[in-house]
Amino acid sequence: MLAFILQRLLALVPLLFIVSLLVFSLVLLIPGDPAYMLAGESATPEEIAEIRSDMGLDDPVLLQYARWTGGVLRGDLGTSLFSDQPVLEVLLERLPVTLSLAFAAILVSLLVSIPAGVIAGTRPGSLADRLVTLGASTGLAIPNFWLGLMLILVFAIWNGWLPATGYVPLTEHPGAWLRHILLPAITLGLSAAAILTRQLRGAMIDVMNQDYIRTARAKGLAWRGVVLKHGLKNAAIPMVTILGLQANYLLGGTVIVEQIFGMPGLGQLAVASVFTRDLPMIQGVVIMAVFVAVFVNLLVDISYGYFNPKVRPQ
Amino acid sequence: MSEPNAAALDQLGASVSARRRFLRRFLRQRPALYALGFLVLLALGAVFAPWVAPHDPLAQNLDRVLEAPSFDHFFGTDELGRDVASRTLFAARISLLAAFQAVVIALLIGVPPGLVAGLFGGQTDNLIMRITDALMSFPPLILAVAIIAVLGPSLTNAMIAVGILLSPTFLRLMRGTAMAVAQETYVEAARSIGCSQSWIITRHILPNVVSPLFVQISVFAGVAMLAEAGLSFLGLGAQPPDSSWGAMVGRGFRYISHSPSLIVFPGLAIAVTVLAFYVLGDGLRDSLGREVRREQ
Amino acid sequence: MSAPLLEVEDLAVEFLTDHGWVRVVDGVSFSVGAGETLGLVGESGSGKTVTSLSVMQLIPRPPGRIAGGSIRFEGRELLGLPEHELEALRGEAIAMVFQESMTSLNPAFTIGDQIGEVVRRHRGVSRREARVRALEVLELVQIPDPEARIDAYPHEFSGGMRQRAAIAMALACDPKLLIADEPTTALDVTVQAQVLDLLRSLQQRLGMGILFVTHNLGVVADLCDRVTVMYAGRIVETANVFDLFEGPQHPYTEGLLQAMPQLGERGKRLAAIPGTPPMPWQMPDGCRFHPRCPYAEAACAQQDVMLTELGEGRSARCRRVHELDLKGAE
Repeated sequence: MLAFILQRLLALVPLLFIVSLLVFSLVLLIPGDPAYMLAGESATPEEIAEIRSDMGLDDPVLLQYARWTGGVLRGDLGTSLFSDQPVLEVLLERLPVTLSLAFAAILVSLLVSIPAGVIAGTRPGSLADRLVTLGASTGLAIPNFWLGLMLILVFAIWNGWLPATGYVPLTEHPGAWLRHILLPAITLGLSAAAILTRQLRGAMIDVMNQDYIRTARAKGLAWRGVVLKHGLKNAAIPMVTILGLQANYLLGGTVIVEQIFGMPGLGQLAVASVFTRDLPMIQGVVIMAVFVAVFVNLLVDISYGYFNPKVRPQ
Repeated sequence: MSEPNAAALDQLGASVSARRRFLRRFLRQRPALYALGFLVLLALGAVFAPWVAPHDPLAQNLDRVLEAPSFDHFFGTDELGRDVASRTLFAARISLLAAFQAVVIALLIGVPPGLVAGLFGGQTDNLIMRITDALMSFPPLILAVAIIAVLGPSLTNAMIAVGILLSPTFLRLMRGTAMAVAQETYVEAARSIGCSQSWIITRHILPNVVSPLFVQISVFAGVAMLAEAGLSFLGLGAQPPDSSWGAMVGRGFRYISHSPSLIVFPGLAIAVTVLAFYVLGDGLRDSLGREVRREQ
Repeated sequence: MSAPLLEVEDLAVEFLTDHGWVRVVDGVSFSVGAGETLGLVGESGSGKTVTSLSVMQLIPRPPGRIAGGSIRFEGRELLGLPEHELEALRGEAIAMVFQESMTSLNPAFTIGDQIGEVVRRHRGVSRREARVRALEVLELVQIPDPEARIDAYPHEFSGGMRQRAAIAMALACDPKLLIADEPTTALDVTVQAQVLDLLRSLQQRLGMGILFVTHNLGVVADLCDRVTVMYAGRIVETANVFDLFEGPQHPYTEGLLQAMPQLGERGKRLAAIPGTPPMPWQMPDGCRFHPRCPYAEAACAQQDVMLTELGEGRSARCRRVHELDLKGAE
């Protein structure tokens, strides 16, 4: 098992190398003089010169890259141009917000998609199946920011059942955390739920036609047990793969959802940094997000072995 | 009894070209046809908006702000008393054009390297796929925000970012087809007698990839529209005075408790249009031959 | 003869197809006694597998349905029994082994898990006791080193070992009736012989009845006491195995026997039956075999043919059963 994880980690090295090149080259993409752009239009020549020397923009590109990567590897992501705080410090402060939102969203998507996909996939063509399929297509088409606003409208403004904005850390007050995270998690999780439902439905239809389902029935197991034990574990194999992809999308989606619900996470930070032109902060957010995404996919890879013994490392 | 007829029909079908079979199957997909009809109507409505819209989308009327839907103003009015229905119709121009832009950019970025990777293989293929994998490991919207941060917030820049995000799928599709075709014996034979790469591309790869490409384009038009709406909602896409559906929702957010119709209607417009693109894509996919679908 | 364990009478099974409800099993009757092996023989599409699945009421519904007849197990009518009572019988009193061990075992669970599951379902025992029983039956089917193999997954087994494991699973609750649907067809010839030997010795030790479904008459000769031959959804002949091989009473049985490779007869051409079996939605009028029958007369295409009782449990569905002198296996 350990060897398997190490092997996966090693395989990540070239990927992360290319990622670092791409993130670094964001600076090179800036049209015109980066220092001028970063300093803003009202900057004095002195300020521009300061940024120029701060960021080492006069050095050769390769040296800049080496310096930047060296910093990243040591955990030095630079300093915010906006607040002068170390980037990493700000990121770590905001990471738990984004992570708890993303995980709550994954939970919501699983809670919705597993029953829906199983019901639709075991009775293809039935009324329930058609309703689920229609719901999934609609769920894919609804923009999540719009869904979020509708939820705010109904549950916060009209009924006042849940808060419209804000965030309370889980460690501070679990009940308040739940009340604050519920609407954002539904907003973020529902499109993932739509994709997972479609996937699970298809896999379930496929699996339920397999011979081993008939064998399980021949053993005298009840329909429900056959579906939930023999069907679901096999249908979960393709679903786990999709879940890994969805983790990426969910992290991306936090950008919008955090903005709507006023949650102080990485996504909100990214949008704010666009307007403050805080490039080191943007780079930091991207690096952190990729790091989390890669880590989640590693977890998915490992859990894959549980569902599919054929790929389990010997 | 109907068997021999069906068999005869199949025989007949085999002699008709693949594209005509595709078209025939597509014409049987009722939901997809409705979706296509809706999209055509929407496009016409957008093009002829100045003649079709009930009001001037920019005409302000400060006596009648934030009104609920009424007979004069089907979708109500906004914070400056402008007609939301007319604004929604005009915003369709921006939203549709932006989705189109993003897909074209994705095709331009994705197709050529996909062809190169599939045809040449080896180290070239390896390098291209590594970069593609890296690109796909970014959480998409965060990457888009980063690209916009660098290029500056504007609709075109936002669509460049979305195009970059969508390109890997086109790249993989082209690569897969090119690889499959390049391994066919007749292509190897053609190459051995000195036929050029461009001949192989135009005669063998493009015809094979056209139908699956259309499926992907249709689905991605929906994805691009959603992405544009999200970015414009955040203020990173369409900038005033231009207004897309997403930007309308973003502005309406401020008045959510006074006038929900400001966000309800443009949001519905996005959802229905995106759904139409998806349904069209599904219909196109189902019209592909079984053989093609299995490769997908 | 032993007391009947399973009695199937006038069974009819239909499937919903593009051609409407199509009858794929029509008026099938047979019985299996305790400790007896009945071979149910026919080409693919003859309805033999559907018949065997119907006994357990495992035909997929939709599109299938049992349209009529009676299935009695130890005198008790199974058709119309509530689902939970059927479930209590399945895997307990009646067990089944399928053709493809690769696909009929669940790839996501260990062999021991899958055997233990059936014991826990019917015996209500603990996980540990179920494992002990799983080890016992794995030993019974002669899987070497069962202690080590019990935690393996199906893909880690060879084809023959997987089929032994599937048999072990079927035997875990000491069933009175074992339904085996082509259990050796997917196996290599040598492995096939081993599995057949195993089944024969298990039956002698455990005394269960076996309904053995196959297209292979050679296997039937090896294992079965009596044979029922099916063609196009109907029974065409029933006889004990020696009588059938010595003197078939239906031209289709004769054709099957002639198509069987004989040991020690090199260079002799195998006589294949000309033509193909009819599709269930376009059954020929009259005798369903007449378009392929070398002995067919004009009258064979006219009227339906009933089964003729020939005494001593023999019967055949042929108009000319008393005129023809058919060739048996040499």
